[in-house]
Amino acid sequence: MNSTNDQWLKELYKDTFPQVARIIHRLGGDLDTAKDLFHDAVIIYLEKAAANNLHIQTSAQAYLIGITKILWMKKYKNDNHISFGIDDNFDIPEDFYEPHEKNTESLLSYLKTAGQRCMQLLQAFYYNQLSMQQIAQKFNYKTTRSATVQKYKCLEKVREQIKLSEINEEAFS
Amino acid sequence: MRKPLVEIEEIERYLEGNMPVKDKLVFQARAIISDDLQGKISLQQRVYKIIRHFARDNQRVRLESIYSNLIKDDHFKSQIETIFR
Repeated sequence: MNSTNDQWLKELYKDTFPQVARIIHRLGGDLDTAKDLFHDAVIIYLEKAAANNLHIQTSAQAYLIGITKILWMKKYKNDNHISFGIDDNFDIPEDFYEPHEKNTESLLSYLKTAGQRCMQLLQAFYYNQLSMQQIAQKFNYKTTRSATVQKYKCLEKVREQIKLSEINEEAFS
Repeated sequence: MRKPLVEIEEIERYLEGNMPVKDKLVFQARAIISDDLQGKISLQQRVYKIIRHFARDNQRVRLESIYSNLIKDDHFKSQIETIFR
């Protein structure tokens, strides 16, 4: 994300969070709950926008307020049926609140340190949806091809790490 | 590219639906008879999930940092304090 995006996000946060906080407070939630739900709503919004999967007629602000209310119902009222009719824009990604598979936390904490550059590259491609050309520039690869090969090496590295963590889990269980 | 990397690329094309129909059918037939290939497909799906978890954790850190900066602003702080008083 560049600094223009950061500034836009900060403005959006400043303008929207107080409204979200008021709603969550009325529903019985505290500040931390309001923050957690709002952050999740922003993440869902940014993911859909990055995947060009967002075709909303309302403002970003109205969308975030709507999604936060849905998240509140899902998480705290256990209501999985709430939706905005047939509007896919308000779908929550399937794996968003899925319980993590075993070892995920220890694996992530290892990858955040030992495999950080690889994970950043993989995030840039698979999550931020940058092109391989943009990734080659950002990570200083001479060609798009060498960045692509590196991407597959990184996938292999994470795959090996998952295998290792599963072997360790079996050994100690 | 090394053979394992070519295989990772092939699994990716399959999972993303970027394989021509004929290749896809051959690939699926291979997966049916090979536990090893099936295992590699599941493992690769798990890798993509891990990347999403990693990215979402980073987004949460970024948003928390925006909040920490905004709360230093007197107007924003007073708005939030009034709500949760």
